[in-house]
Amino acid sequence: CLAQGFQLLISTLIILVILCFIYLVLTSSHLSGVNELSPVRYGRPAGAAPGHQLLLRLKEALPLGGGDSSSSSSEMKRVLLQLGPEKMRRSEEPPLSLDLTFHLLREVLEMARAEQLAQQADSNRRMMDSYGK
Amino acid sequence: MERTFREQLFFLLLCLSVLSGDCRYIENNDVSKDELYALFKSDLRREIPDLLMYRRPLRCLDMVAMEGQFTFTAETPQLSCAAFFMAEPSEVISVEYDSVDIDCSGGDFITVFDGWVMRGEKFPSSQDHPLPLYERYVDYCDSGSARKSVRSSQNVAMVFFRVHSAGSSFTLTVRKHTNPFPCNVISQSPEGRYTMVIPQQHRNCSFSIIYPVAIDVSEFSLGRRNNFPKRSLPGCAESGDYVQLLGGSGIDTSKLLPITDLCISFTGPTHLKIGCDNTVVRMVSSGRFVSRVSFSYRLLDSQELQTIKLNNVEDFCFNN
Repeated sequence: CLAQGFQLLISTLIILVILCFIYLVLTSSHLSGVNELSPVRYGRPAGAAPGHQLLLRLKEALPLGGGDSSSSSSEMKRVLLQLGPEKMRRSEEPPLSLDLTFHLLREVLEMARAEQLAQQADSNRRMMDSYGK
Repeated sequence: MERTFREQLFFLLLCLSVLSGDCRYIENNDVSKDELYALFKSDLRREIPDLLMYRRPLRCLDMVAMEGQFTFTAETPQLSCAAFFMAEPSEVISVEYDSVDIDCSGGDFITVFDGWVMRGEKFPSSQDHPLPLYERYVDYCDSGSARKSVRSSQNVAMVFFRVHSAGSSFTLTVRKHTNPFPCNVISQSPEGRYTMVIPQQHRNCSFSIIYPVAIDVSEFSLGRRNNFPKRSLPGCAESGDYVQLLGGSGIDTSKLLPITDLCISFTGPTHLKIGCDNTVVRMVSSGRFVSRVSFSYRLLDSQELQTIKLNNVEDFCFNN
C-alpha cells in the first residue's frame, strides 16, 4: 500500500513538472543570455582626470609572432583607446571605444583562430595519447 | 529501492532534461551515467578539469577565441588596453574575474562590454540589442564582488582595462555556452554558410562578416509555403518581415548602407558581391512567422575587388 502511494505521488509529480515546464516555455520570451548581465549603471572609474576627453596612444607593439609584423606594428602604434568625456550624456557615444582598423582587427582575429586550431590539435593529440594507453 | 520506483524517478529526471532542451548534450558530452544530479545542470558540458584548462598571458591588445584562463600582469603602467572575445555563432561567452589585484580607487578599471566597440561604433547596434547601452558595460570596480561573472548576449564580447601600477594583475576565465537561438553574430571566418532563424519573435538579428565577400542567399522563408516568384521589391519596410543586405566600413549595423532588401519568400540562390569591409545580413521579424534565411559566403579575391571598385559609381565602401 505504501509502495503504491509512492508510485502515485511520483506520477503526480511528473505530471505537475511537465505542466510547469510547458507553461514556462510558452511564456518565455528571452532565450539568449541577456538576463545574465545585471543592470549595473556604467560609472566613471574613480580617480579619472576630470573634464576632458582622453586620447591614449598604445606604444607597445603586439608580439604578433612569425616575425612578419612590421606593417602591423606600425599600425598598432596608431591604435587609440578613447575614453569619453566625463560630462557626456548617457545617450551619446559609448564611453569606451577602441580606434582599430578592420585590417588590424582581421589580423588579430586570424591569430586567435590559429591559436584555437593549435590548441584543438594539441587537445586531440592528448586524447589520442590517452586512448592508446 | 523498488525497481518501479527507480524507473519512475529516472523518467522524472529525463522529463526535466528534455523540457530544458539540453538532452542532445547528454549524448555528445559524455555525462556520467552514475551522476544523476549532473542532469540538473543547465550547461550540460563536460567541465574542463583545472589541469587541462588552457592558460596563457593576456596581452594589452588581444583577441581570444577559446576557453581558458588569461592572466594580465602589468610590467609597466598600461593605460589603454582591450581584449576581444569571440565564440562560434551558436555560443555566448561568459567572463569571470579571478585573482583581481588592481587599484580601483587609483583609477584602474576592468570593464566588460556586451558586444564589440570599435571607433565609437558598437555591435550589436542599439536597435538590435535588448539592453540599453550603459547596461552593456559592466565595470568590475562598480560591481565589485557582487558580479564575478558576466555573460554576453551574442558570440562576441570585449574587455577594456587600465592599470597604473606595475605588478597589478588579474585573471579572466573565459567560457563558452550554447545559445540555442543566436541572433546577432559576427563571423569568425571570411567564408562559410549559415542559417538564421527567428522563431516568432519581434526582433531584428544581424550576421556580420568583417570581410568583403560574395554572398549567396539560398533561401528566405516566413514559415509558410509561398509560390511567389523570386524577386526583391524596393522598400520592404512596410512588409514587417524582410532580409536586408548591408555594407559599409563600420561595425554598427544601423550606420551601414542598405544594398538590397528581400521581402518575398523564395528558394534559390541570389548572388551578390559586396566589396565592403563589413557585410551584414540582417533579418527583420515582426514575430508573426518563423523567419528563416540561409546563405553562404566566400572571400572576394583582389581581382574581384578591383572589378567592383571600377564598376561602382558610388564607392561608399571605399570612401569612408
